[in-house]
Amino acid sequence: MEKNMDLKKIEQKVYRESVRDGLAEIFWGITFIAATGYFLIRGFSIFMILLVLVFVPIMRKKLKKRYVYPRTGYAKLRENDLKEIAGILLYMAGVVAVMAAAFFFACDDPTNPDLWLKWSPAFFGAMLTGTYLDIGRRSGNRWYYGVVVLALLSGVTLSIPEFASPKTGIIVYLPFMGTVLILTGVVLLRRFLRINPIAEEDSNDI
Amino acid sequence: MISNEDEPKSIADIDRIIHEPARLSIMAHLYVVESADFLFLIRQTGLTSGNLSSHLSKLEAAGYIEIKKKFVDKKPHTMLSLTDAGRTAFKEYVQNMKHVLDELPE
Repeated sequence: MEKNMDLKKIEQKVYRESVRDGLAEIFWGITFIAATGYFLIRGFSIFMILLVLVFVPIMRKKLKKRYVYPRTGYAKLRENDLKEIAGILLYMAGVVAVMAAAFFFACDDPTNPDLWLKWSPAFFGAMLTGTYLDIGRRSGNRWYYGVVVLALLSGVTLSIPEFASPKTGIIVYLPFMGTVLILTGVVLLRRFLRINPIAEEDSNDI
Repeated sequence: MISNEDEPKSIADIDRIIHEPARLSIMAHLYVVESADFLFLIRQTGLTSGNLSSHLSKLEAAGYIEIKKKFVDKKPHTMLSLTDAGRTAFKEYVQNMKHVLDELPE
């Protein structure tokens, strides 16, 4: 029987187990690769990205119902969606403000769209950093901080060089991080399926 | 011998329904989520199916948990959650236990 009665640790464990199936990483990876199309393919509508953003959570929910919950059971976490969305928007605004301030002090024209495009890998890196810092804090799993370091370092690294086109950095960054996330997700999913066999029928319910 | 009246109030206030280790584990896990199913509690608490059922019945009889049954794909599916009374009782239990432990001599 569970011996640890530290509520904080129990909450972290429950959250950690809700994200350890790797599906989130796989679908974030797909979204990143799909987003590359916006920068790479002429006529690629932003609605395609929105379609992926709508379609992906539905698919994730269906896969969880089929492959995850019969193995681990289902728990609805206590989440304040409004607070979470407000936090994400505030964080995004903070990153934009920091970048704008840096451009203002370092460049002649901080409103130049090419400058923003050139530094967009750093912006996406900062977004992933925020996401995975939050997951790391809530799950108590230090592994997620590795993603933070990689996302931020590669984002900044691809923003610094002067490529022929300001789009080059983001065109390399999105598929790179997308592939890293998908591979990570596949490894996590395989591990999850191996160590969590489907529960016997008679122990599923009262 | 010390009579019950002489015991510090917080010890007398320890909720015996929650104090049992298996039920404490169930309450703690339901406290950190909004609701959970039977299989989730088995996996998290390490209790057997029969043992868990028996403790859930006691917690339900005390009014601490709510059990909702429904059918999903023609199979029974039970969702469990703490009632408001259960949430309050658990908070009080944690506070009382902290108080009792703080008062113990080193």
